[in-house]
Amino acid sequence: MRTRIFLYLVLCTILIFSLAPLIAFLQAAFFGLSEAESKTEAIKTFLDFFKRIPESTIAKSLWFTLKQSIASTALAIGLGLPGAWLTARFRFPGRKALLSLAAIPFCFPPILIILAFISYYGKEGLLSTAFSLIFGSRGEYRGILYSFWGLVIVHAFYNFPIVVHQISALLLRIPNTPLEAARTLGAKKLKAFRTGILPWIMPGIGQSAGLIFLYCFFSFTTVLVFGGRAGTTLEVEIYQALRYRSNLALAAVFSVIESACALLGIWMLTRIKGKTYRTVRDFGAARKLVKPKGKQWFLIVLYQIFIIVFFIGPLFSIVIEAFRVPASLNSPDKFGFDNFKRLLTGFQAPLTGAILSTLKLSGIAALLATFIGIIACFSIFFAQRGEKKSNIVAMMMDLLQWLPMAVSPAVIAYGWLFISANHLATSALIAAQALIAWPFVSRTVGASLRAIDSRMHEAAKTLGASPIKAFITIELRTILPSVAAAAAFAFSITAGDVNVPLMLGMSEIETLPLILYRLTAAYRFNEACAAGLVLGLMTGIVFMLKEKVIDVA
Amino acid sequence: MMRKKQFIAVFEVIAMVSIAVVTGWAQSNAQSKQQNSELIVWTYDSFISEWGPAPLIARAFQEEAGIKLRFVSKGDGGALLAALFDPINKPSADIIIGLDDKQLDKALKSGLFIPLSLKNISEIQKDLLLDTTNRLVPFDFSQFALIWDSQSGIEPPRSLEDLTKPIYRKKLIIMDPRTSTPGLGFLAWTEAVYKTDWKEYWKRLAPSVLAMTPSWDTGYGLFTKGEAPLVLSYSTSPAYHKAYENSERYRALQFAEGHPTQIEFAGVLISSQKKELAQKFLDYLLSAKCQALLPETQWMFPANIKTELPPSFSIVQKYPALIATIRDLDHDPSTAANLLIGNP
Repeated sequence: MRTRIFLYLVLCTILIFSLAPLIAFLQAAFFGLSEAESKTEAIKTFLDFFKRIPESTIAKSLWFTLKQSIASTALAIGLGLPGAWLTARFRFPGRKALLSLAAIPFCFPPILIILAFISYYGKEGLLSTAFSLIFGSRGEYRGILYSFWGLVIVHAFYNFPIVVHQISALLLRIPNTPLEAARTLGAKKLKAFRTGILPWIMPGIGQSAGLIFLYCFFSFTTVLVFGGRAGTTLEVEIYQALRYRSNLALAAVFSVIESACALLGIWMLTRIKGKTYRTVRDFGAARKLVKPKGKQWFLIVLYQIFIIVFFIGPLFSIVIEAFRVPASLNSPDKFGFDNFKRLLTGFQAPLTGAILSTLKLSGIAALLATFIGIIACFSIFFAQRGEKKSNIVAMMMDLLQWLPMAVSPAVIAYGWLFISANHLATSALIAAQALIAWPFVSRTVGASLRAIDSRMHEAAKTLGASPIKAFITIELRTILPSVAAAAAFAFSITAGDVNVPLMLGMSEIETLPLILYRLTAAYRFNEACAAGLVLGLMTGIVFMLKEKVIDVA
Repeated sequence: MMRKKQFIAVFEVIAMVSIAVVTGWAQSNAQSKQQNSELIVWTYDSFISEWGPAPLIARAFQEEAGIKLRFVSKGDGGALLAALFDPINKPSADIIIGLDDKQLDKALKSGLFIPLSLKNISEIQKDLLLDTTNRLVPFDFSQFALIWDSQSGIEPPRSLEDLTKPIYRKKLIIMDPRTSTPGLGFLAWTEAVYKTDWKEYWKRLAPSVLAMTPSWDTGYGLFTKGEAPLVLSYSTSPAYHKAYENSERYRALQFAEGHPTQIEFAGVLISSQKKELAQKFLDYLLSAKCQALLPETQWMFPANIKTELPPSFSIVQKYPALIATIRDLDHDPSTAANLLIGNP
C-alpha cells in the first residue's frame, strides 16, 4: 500500500515536471502573456492560419520535413544493411570498430558532424582537393552540400551506424534453418533470402527506420546550416517564428502539427518494437562467425574503404583542420596551435568561458536528468513487479519516456522560460535539457535493472537479508555501472545540444556548441574545428561506455 | 578491463561535477562584480568577430574613458531587431549597434530608445540623419553591390535582370531577407526596380541562387571559399581584399539600375541604468578618431565627414544611388524567402 502511494507520488512529480512547460507554452501562445493585445493577436493568427492553410508555408514545410526524413532514413538503411550483414556473418579485422561506430550519433552532436562534412566535402575540403589532384579541375563542382541531397547525405551518414549495430545484433540471432530449408526446397539464393531471412529482420529494420525517421524529423541544426534553399523543416519554422517574428501563436501551431506527426511515428514504432522482442526471443543463441573467403574478402574491404573515405574521413578532418592555420598576408599555410590560442586569448576570449559554462550548465542538467531518470526507472520497475493495479504507473512512465521524441525542444525551452522566476534563461536551459535527457537515463538504467535475475533477490532474502538489504546488495550494486554510463550519456546529450540555447537566444552565456555554431556560420572553420575538437573530447567519454548505452538507446 | 573503464567514468563524472560547482560559484561571483562597471552593447556577429571593429573600439574606448565595453552578439541583423521585441527576454543592454535604415521605422516605433544629444553629430554627413529626433544615430554606410570573382571565368552581369540568365545558374549567393540586413537590402533593391512585379523577378532569379545564407558572414565565407563566383555584398568589400591580400581579384559590379545605400544606426536603450555613460560612448563612436577604425574593420564608409579614408579604399567607386525601401517589413521578407525555398 505504502509503495503504491509512493509510486503515484513519483508519477505525479515527473508528470508535472514533463508537462508543465508544454502547458505553459500553449497557454502563453493562445491566451497571451496577460496582455490583451497579444491575446487578440494570437486568436487572429490562429484564424488567419486556418483561412490560409493551402497557401501557407505549413503544408510546404511539412512536406519537406517528411520528404527529407524519408529519404534520409532510406539512405541510412541502405548504407547500414551491408555493414550489418557483414558484421553478423564474418569475423574480420575492424569488425568491432564498425559496430562501435554506433556510438557516434549518440555522443557527437549534429553540429560537430555538420562541421566535419563541410570541412571534408566542401569545395576546398579534403575530399574535393584529393579529387582535383586525381582528376584535375574542380570546375564542375556543384555544391551538393547546400542542397536537398546534401542534407540527406549528412543525415544518412550520421545515422547509419545505428542500423549496422541494431540489425547486426538481430541477424546474429537468426538461425540458418529457415534459409537452409528454403534452399533445400529448391529456392534460388534471392528467393531463399526473401523467405528465410527478410521476414525475421523486417521488424528490426522497421524499428531502426522509425528511430532514424524521428531523429531526422526533428532535425534542426543541420537544416539550419544546409537547408537554405532546399527548404525548412517544421523545427526550423518554429525557430524562425520564435526568434525572428516573436510570434508564439504561429510557433505553437507548427509545434502541434509536428508533435501530432511524431506521435503517429512513435505509435507505429512501439507496435513494431513489440514484434522484434518476439522474434528475438524465439531463438536466443547467437550464430558463429565464419572466416570470409575470396569474394567475401573483397566485399568486406570494399565496404570498409567506403566507410573510411566517406564517413571516417570527415571526422578525421576535424582534427586536421583544428591544427591547420590558413594562409594569411604574411604567413603561408602551416600547422600549429594558433586556432586554439586565438580562441583562448583573442577578443573576449570565448573558449575558456564556453568550456566552463558548458561544464556548469550541462553538468547540472545531466545530474538532474540522472536523478529523475533513476527515480523514474525504479518506479517503473517496482510498479511492474508489484500488483497488477499499479501497472498504470508503469504504462504512464513508459509513455512519458517518449516525450522528448515527440515534442519540439523549442517548446520545452520556451515553456520553462515562462515558468522560471524572472524568466531566467539559464534555469530554463537547465530544466529543458534535463527534461530532454532523463528518458535516456531511465531507459539505460532500466534495461540493466530488468536484466537482473529476480531469483538472486529471492536468494538473498532466503539467506536472511531484509528486503532493503537485499535491494541494496543485489539491485543497486548491479546497476551502479549503468548509472555512471547513463549519467555520462546524459552529459553528452546536454553538452552537445545547440538547439535549446539557440532557441532561447541566450547571448550572454556562450556554450561550446553555440560557439561552434557561430564559428561555422561565420565560416571560420579552422577555429570552429578547434572548438569542435574540445567539444568532441568532452562528449566522447560516452564512447568508452558505448556498449551499455547503445544497446538500450 | 571493464572495471577500469567504469572507474574512469565515475571519476570523470565526479571531476566534472566538482569543476562545474566551483566554476559556477566563481562565475556568479564574477558576474555580479562585472555588471557595475561595464556597458553592455548588443550587436550582430561580424561586428564582434576578431577582425571586426569591436575589439579595437573596446580597447580604444577603455584607454580614452576608462570604461569597459562588453559586446554581446545577438546573431545576425534580423535577430538583433527581433531581440528588441522579445516578449519574454526584455532587452537588457545599454546600447544597440547595427540596426539599418530598413529597420529604422520599426525600431523607433518600439519607443525603446532615448533621444540623444551628441556633440559630434554636427560632423556626420547630413543625408544620413534619417531620424530627426536623434534617437538612432548613423555611424557608417555603404552601397549594396554584387561582388564578382574575376578568376571564375564567368562573364560579369551588368544588371539585376542579367542575374536571371541561364549562364548564372547556381552561381549566386544571397542572404536571407528574414534574418540578415543585406538580404533585406537586396529585397528593397528589387522592390525599387521592379515595383509591384518584384515577386516575378524573385521567381526568375531562383535558379541562379546557389545558397540563401542566414547571415552576411556565412554568405561571404562561402564566396571566398570559392563555392560560387557571385555574392551579394557592398561596393566597399573589394577594399578588404586590397588591404589584406593586395588582390583585386574580387570586384564590385556596377548595375544599370543604380545601387541602394545601407546606413547603420546605433542608440541607447530607455531601460539602461547608465544612460550618461552610454551617450558618452556613442559620442565617441561618432568622433573622427573612432570612425577612422571603421573603414578597415566594418569595410563600410565612415559617417563622419572629417574621417580620412585609408589607401585601400582607393579602388572603391561610388555608384549612382537608388532610393529603396521595403513596402511591408512584416510580410515581404518571408514572401521573398519562400519564393526561393524549395524552388531550385
